Amino acid sequence: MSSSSGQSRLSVAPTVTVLAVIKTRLLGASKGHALLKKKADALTLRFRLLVKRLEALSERISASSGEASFSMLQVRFACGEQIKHTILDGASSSKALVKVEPSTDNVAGVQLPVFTLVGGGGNAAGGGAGDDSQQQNRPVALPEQLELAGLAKGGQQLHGAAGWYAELTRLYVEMASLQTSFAALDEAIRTTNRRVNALENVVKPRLANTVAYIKSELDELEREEFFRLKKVQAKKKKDMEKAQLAEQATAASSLLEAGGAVGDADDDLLF
Amino acid sequence: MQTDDVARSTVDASAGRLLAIMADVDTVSGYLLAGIGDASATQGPNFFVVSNTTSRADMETAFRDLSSREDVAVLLVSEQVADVLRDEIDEYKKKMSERGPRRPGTKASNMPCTVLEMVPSTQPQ
Repeated sequence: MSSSSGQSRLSVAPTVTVLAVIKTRLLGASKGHALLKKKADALTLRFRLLVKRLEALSERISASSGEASFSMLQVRFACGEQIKHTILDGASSSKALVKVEPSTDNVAGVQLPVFTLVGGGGNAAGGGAGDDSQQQNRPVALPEQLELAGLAKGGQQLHGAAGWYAELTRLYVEMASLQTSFAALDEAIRTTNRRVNALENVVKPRLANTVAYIKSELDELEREEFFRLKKVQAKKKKDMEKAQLAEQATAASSLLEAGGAVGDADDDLLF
Repeated sequence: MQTDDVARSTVDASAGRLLAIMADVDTVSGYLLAGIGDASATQGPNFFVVSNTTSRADMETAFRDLSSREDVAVLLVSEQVADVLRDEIDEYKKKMSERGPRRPGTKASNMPCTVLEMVPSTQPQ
């Protein structure tokens, strides 16, 4: 790492008020750092879970796709190859029965996309996953035109295939949600980690250095003040001593000049 | 997260956006049976059948059309198609990720189409 963490500080006036401000900011940065770390951890955990789910889903789709293809084979066998044209033609003028509603889900402060399947005709609201092997047995409402096609022959196969593909549709919609969430989460984790690192390696050290600088400057000022004070006191003391000495000196000399001070009282005696 | 939120409702499906698909005829037929097919006069069909004779240019056009349609939320492409349109698909995904993370304010209905590469099937047991 560069020397940035050791040397940089903000350029501020080293006063007591500024010190308080910087200290508050440092506290804020520390709190923010802790929170962001938590967020990064939460997101990473979600991410790992997501990857697992994605893998499991992928396997399910893979298996179901095989079954679905097989069921289509059966349709072609039962209804004849013409059925393909009927299906394609039929769809060329239809309105989709099954659609997708995109929305977002807020997770740990991150907007994750959600795709919800809408429509599906006469399906029972069979909540949860259910057993895959039973999927194709659920009654599926075929698009109108195809219902008629099925009446001719192979209706059972048509319904069977429709069931499988309906299940696949459901799975793919879920996968759409998971895959886009994957991308969004990945990006969010990167951003959060970047911020955590920035706080840890740049912002906090810089603020700490600033605090240290201010403190040392204030100490220096205090010492200077103290020193100055001492100097003044010393000078005062010296002046006082000098003055005292001078006083004593003048007092002594005036005494000497006056000579026999004792005899002064006798002068007043008049003969 | 949206764990089991893949809800189904028997409500009128005129709300919501389409699933589009580009694959071989059997696969597309299958999904049409499931009811995802749509073809309006203005927008055209939301499915594209790919065969051995389909030109790359046609595939590219179909991909661009379907993935840029506002009313399409998810575009499924088969492994076969993905192999041919590898560059276009990667470029599209890159463009999507560069749009940046979704801000809380953006409406979900403005989300661009998600391109899903279909998982190759395993042989049935």
